[in-house]
Amino acid sequence: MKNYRVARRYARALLEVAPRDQMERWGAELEKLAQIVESPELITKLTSPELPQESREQAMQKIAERLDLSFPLRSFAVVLARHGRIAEIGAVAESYRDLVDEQLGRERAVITFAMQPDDTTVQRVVSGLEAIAGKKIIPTIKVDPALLGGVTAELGGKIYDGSLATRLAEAQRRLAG
Amino acid sequence: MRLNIKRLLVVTIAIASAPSLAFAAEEAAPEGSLFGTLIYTINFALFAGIIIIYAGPALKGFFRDRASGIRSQLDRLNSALQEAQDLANRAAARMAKLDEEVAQIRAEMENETKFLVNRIREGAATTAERIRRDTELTSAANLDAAQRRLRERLAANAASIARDLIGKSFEASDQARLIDGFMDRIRTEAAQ
Repeated sequence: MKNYRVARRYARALLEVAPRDQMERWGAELEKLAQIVESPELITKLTSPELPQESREQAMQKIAERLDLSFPLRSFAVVLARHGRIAEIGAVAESYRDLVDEQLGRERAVITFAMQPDDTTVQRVVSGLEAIAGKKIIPTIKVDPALLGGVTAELGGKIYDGSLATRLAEAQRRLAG
Repeated sequence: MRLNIKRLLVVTIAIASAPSLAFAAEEAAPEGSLFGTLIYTINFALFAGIIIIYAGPALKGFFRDRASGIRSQLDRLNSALQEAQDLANRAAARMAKLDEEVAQIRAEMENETKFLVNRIREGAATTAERIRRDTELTSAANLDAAQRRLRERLAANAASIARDLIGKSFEASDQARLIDGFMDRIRTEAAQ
């Protein structure tokens, strides 16, 4: 289970040293590192109590080098290993992304369409969401035929559902009494 | 007692045979003479004297014992009679009491039977009422459940048919219309 309180502290520390023009780049690098480290076999080995602390730090450093991360991120990877927080790296990356979004006045939204949308449609939906949030929206676009038709959007923990599947389910529930 | 009787018999036979011997030794006396009568009288007196002397105490003892035995037997019989009368009285009293008890028991049994019958009747009525109520409730619940299942099945079938129809005939224009509706909704929310 990820410890988001701890992760947020590490993310905030990284963000505080990040130059404004490098914030997003560091975020992307951190996510790349988290993706690799959190692969099942690697996370098991890296968090194993049998692995000596020094080897753990060296391993994290080598991974960071291999991914060609910037030097501050390589150091951050070693710091995480030294403090026994490798298991929290995914949560740190998420928290860092949220903090960056917050700082840059933007929000992320997952928009799911029933069929592949064109750019105009995506832009229309994003604009609508931006109007609700009052912030710039960074969309993650998904396609799910199970929606049957329409679109759903997840923004700031809230779901806006305009899908046919949900309408149909509601109609079925009403019909069933 | 038996010894005394034997002795008495022996003495009686001996004495009875003595005058006979005297008669046999003498010449036959003339009939109806005074002498003959005297002889008979003397013989009888001797006989009676010997009887009294020799058999008297034995007879006295015999009759005394006999009287004592009879008295004690009489006492026993009286006592037995008394006991029998007591028993008979007690039995009679008991019989009288028994009749009362029987009557009382019969009355109690009748009362108890009435009470039990009433209780069973009331219990049966309550049970019948409960069964009727339970049956009504169960029937209503079963009916509701059946109706609900039917509605659910109908709704599921309708939804399934709708899904099939949508899958077959859904077009880009329909998607555009749905997105327009979605945009209207979020615009309304944004305005709020």
